[in-house]
Amino acid sequence: MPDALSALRDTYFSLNSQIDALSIACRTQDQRDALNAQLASAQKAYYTAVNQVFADDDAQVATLTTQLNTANTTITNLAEQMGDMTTVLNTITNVVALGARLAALATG
Amino acid sequence: MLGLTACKDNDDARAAASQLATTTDALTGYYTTLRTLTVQTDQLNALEKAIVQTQYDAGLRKLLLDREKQLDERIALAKALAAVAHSLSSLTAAKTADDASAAANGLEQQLDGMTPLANAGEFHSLVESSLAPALHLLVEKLQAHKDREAAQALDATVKAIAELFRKESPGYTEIQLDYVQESETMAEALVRRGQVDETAAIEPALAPLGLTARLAPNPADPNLPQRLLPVLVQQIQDRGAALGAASQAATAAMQASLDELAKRVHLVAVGSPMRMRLKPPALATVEKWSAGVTAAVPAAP
Repeated sequence: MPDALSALRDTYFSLNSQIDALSIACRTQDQRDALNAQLASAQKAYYTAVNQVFADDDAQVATLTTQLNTANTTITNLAEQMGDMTTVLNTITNVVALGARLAALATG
Repeated sequence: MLGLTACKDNDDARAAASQLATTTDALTGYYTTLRTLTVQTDQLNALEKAIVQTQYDAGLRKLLLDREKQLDERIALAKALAAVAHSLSSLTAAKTADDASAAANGLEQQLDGMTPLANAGEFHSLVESSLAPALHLLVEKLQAHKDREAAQALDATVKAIAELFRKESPGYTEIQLDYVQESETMAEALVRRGQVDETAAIEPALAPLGLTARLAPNPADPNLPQRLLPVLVQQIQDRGAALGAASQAATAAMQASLDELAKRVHLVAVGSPMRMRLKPPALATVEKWSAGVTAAVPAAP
């Protein structure tokens, strides 16, 4: 069973560790706002998941965690893609959306 | 634990009570350190919002404030357990049972309304099936001066506290990791903005020779700060990794200490010899970590 919390942590930590460089690379305030909204969403998913629990035997949790782990590899080093911030933001948005779907499966 | 006459050997009982007191004092220190890290993480998020202009809104902040409150609950629980242990290790046997009973009552009250910090489902299950009944029994038996049963209830209580720590420890790890990554992010952002004194990076060359750095703008080499940047970033990452590893070692050591303590209290409760006189050895790792964090990080309000 892949570790859902670890996958959500990786998403948030990966984005947060690059947020300064990404923010500087944004061309417009709208891009910056969109970037910050994604970071906040990733942080919320991670924080919320910490004090909840994912069912060990939930196939949907397993599938989404595997997908998120794979998606996380696309945001580990965004420096090389910062020339095209529209694509970078789309990539980030897709990963964070996947994380939000996974976090929604955690139960209190 | 003089009042707990289930023990064949009062020296063993007193030693176990003393070790329970030492271990729960360390547990209080452990939770207090986690709370300090949580408060610092909140402040680092606020700093990140100011410097990088991220969105650290009230909703996100509330999640960290909730965590602070949950840690306050655990600090209070550990202190209440320490109060039970200190009263049981008192040398005045006649007063011991009444003091311990009052302290156990305080411990039971601390548990009431406690919220899960991690692993919510298992937290509720553990509290309802083990910890709350053991504590209730402890209060009842101490009040009735039924020493043998009280010793057994204390045994169950310590086991349940160790189990609670085990269930929640993944959450404790996240608190530590979150603080480390947040401080690394902010440190790197400040280095990139030229807001950090780079002299620390050249200390390894000078300190062994008894020299002190003085980096000043150098017209002959204006790019020096830029070239030092990756050195500083690497230093931040290396120290962050070391801090993270020390934190996780402290959590593992706290768990090992609680497990060891539970074994010792159990020996006393069943009337077997308990010859250990030193505190659980892993406690030194916890105390060193707490002292290190306290020295490096401003105390939380």
